[in-house]
Amino acid sequence: MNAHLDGNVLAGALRELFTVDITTATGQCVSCGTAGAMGEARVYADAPGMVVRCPPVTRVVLRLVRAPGRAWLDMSGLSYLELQLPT
Amino acid sequence: MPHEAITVDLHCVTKWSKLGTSWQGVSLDTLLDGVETTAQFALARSYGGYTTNLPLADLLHGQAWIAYSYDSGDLEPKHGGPARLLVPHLYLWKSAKWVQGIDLRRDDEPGFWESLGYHNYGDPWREQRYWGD
Amino acid sequence: MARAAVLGRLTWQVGTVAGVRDETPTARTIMLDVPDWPGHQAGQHVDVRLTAEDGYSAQRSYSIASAPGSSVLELTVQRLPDGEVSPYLAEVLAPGDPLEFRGPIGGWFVWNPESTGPVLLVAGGSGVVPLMAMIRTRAMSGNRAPFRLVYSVRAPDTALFAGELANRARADAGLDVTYVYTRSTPPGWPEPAGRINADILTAGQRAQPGLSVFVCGPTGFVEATADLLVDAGQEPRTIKTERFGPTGGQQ
Repeated sequence: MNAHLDGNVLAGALRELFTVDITTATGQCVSCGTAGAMGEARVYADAPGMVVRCPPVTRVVLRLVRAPGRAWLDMSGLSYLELQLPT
Repeated sequence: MPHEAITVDLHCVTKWSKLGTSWQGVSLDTLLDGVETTAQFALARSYGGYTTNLPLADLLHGQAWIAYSYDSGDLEPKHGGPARLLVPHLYLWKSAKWVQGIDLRRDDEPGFWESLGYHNYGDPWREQRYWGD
Repeated sequence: MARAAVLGRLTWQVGTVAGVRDETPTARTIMLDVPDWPGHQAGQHVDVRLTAEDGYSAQRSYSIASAPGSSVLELTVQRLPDGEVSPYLAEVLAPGDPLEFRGPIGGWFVWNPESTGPVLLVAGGSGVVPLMAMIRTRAMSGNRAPFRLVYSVRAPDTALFAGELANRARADAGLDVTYVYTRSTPPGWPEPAGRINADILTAGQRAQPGLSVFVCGPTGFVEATADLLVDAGQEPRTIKTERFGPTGGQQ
């Protein structure tokens, strides 16, 4: 499979949808229970869309498709996302 | 197993088309020759867990190949090697890279990207890129 | 300086090119004037979008090279031979031109000038850009944390910011700069050209407690460097990476 990038690649695409940066958010993999910063996740950013995998087990934790005027976001591989909000 | 030289135009969803690409591969007609089935659909499975679905009829009649060579060389992993599905009459995401197997099914199961916004069929001539197109 | 909290979705905006500055034969810095720039952190980037007349658009991320505190951002762009965006930015874009971008983006690969721990910066080629922003931010803020930059380049004339790095290192005992030349070395260089290795990274020291590491560059370089560091005893969670890989499909 392709070499992966790191979570920084997620930052711009998800900053369109979220009001805060996602790379500093902590996500928990629904499969193995590992929690970590999204900035450290493995990102596969080839078209057709973006795939984010948990580093230990490479299970898909997030998928994003961006089309003109629409986006589809699947986070079913995360059991939670803990976001840092400005105080 | 008989193999063929294939020259086709590719249609990518996000970029313009790449014309006159040349491949070597085995036709799905050859692979499925003699297979009796009532299946109407297919699901191509790739290493890494990716899947893509299409009607079985779109894999037959000279429309699809398992390709293992591109531009006279071995098909590189970044282009889907060692072997990929090639279905040039549909958008390129239907040409599953790193193909591991093809399931023949009685029901249609949306694949990895078809379940997240990409059009279930993907006809470039009708610009069927995303749901509802 | 209080970090501006930009709540709300990030949208595209247009800046004006205030100036350009050649850095090497194949790289230059673009000074982008953004009147209502909210500020940024060292290590963050912007996404730049070019749109052709037929509506086709291409988008790439570029690290901000400048320290915060100005409404003029500096983006240092390396021209890639088969790039879709970099040749335009590195050769065609001119002062007065508009440039569509969004940012600042990222919060993970950043250095905060309130931190006090020592920092190791490891750059491969144009991966030095966000690390330069960190070096410039450190100087501007008066932060005295020890900084060491290990900068891997192919040849002396491909190194970005060489003059500025030399000046800063000379003037500041807390900043150390070490070059690794992988293809050709400067005249009189004591070692033959070669890749980065554990000895260069650790400079003979066992893993320093409290050391933060930032590694940026091509994917292969980042992975090899991170492996060397972990093998040398650096805790993986102290290493932050930014891989410049093949770009994703445009949106």
